[in-house]
Amino acid sequence: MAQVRTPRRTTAKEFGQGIARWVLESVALIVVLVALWQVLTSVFHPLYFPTPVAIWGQIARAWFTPLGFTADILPSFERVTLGWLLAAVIGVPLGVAVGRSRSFAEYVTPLVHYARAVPPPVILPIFMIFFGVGNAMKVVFIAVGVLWPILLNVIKGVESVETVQLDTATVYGIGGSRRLLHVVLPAAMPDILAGLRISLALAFVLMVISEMIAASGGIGYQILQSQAQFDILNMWAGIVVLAVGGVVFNAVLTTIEGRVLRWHRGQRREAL
Amino acid sequence: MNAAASKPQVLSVQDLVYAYRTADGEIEAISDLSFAVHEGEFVSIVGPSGSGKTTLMKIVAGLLQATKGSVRILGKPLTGRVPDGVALVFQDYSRSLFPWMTVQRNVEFPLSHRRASRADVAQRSRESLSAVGLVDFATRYPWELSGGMQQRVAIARALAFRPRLLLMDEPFASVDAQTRADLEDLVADVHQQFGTTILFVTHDIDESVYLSDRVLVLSAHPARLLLDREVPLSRPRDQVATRELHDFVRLRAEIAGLILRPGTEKTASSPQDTSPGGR
Ligand SMILES: Nc1ncnc2c1ncn2[C@@H]1O[C@H](COP(=O)(O)OP(=O)(O)O)[C@@H](O)[C@H]1O
Ligand SMILES: [Mg+2]
Repeated sequence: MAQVRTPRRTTAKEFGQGIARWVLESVALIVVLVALWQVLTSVFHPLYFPTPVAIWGQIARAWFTPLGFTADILPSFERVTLGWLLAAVIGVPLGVAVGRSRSFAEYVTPLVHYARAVPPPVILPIFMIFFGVGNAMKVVFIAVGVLWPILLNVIKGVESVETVQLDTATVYGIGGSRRLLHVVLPAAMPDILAGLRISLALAFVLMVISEMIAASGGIGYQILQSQAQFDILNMWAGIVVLAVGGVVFNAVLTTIEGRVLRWHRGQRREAL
Repeated sequence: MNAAASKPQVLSVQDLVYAYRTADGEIEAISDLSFAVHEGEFVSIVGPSGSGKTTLMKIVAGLLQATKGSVRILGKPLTGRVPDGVALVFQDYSRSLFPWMTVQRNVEFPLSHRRASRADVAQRSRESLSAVGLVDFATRYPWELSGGMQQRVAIARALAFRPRLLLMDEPFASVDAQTRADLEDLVADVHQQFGTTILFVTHDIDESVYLSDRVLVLSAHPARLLLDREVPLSRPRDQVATRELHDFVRLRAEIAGLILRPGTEKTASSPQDTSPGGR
């Protein structure tokens, strides 16, 4: 038999090395930048820019305490998680349902684009009327805000499943839930996960906005309060906590994505 | 007459017409086609590109519904549903395999929802993977394999399905010449070994004569039958020796005359008018 080329299996290892190099490089970059910041701020003592060491001290003192966790950090990340999950639980099935019918999708997609074009903060007052200023309001606000990018990506992914793959399933008598679970969803998964990643970043933004406008706790609330009380150090501490949280959430999602889409990465690399 | 003709008909196509409905009206892809395939036969359909071969395969596989005429599989008319026991190997193999499944999973996927036992499924996939020489690649992913190997996975998947009728739509059109020769012999072996009834579409005249018991020649678009001819060559065949035989050369020339003769795309010529270079 003609074996035109021997398949390669080193790719996973190469990928791992690539990740390791990337992490190393970005950590090195961060260390350099933080060091630079430390040097500049301790030399010039600018009024609005505390040193990283001072910020870290403030985080340890005021944020990484039982009260800091329960009153601010956890509520914020809980809102992000719940809002985002709620949007995913609604958006993915809805997007799949819409995307499976091409004509329906053509009808619905422009509407979703319109909905997405409305800046979420604009509708926050409406939410406050209906849901008050409690936790539920913020979760629903985040969910509604991030629903649109999820919907658009899921619809796009389901719509663009290869016709040949669907025909193959049909010929082999694979229909119903098996077709959905084992053909349509995996094929659409790269787009679905892209939508979830975009919406996670947006969920953070909306969480902060909702907390700045209407809250009695949370990272966004603390940042705005500190600024108002001229507690610049605590304001920076909040910003750093928020940024680190965003990075961690994104890293978790990226890791899951990497696992689920191993085939997709491999296939794309082979196509090059 | 043909020995196979006394066997039961696996596929019978009667007065088949197919027209695509598009924004600017109907495009007739198949106009009035009739033929039959009998159990155990290897029938090739050869016709120029765009003549309607893929359309025909899709109709037989139940992916498209005939505009007029009837298609029967094992005596049962196709009525809007996908027929049982028909497998189709697509020309576009790289897209017909599921890249998120391993080779083995691809082969087993069509089986696992039938009431086959786990052991039976594993046995069938091993058997068909070994028939195409890919047992060692069972845990690989399709995209880790070369084009020829991917097409062999698609063939293994079809074999494991144990179809009563195996449809192959230009399965080797996009692999290199050496791989193509290997795959042709592989399919010929499979046909002999499993006794599978095969309807094989190609635009390659040599391939159609080399592989089959009978060749059907289609006209350029829209498809009509120009010739239905037994291949007077014994089996097993040989890539070099068979192609040098007088019968092979003559049949190839006859088909080439039908397909390549200038003017066929303009006017309908009657199937009897087979003189090479006519007009
Ligand atoms: N989806 C379609 N819509 C309209 N016309 C089509 C479609 N698919 C194929 N055709 C037309 O039908 C004819 C036959 O196509 P096809 O069956 O793919 O030919 P072949 O497989 O022999 O190359 C061609 O002229 C092609 O342009
Ligand atoms: Mg074709």
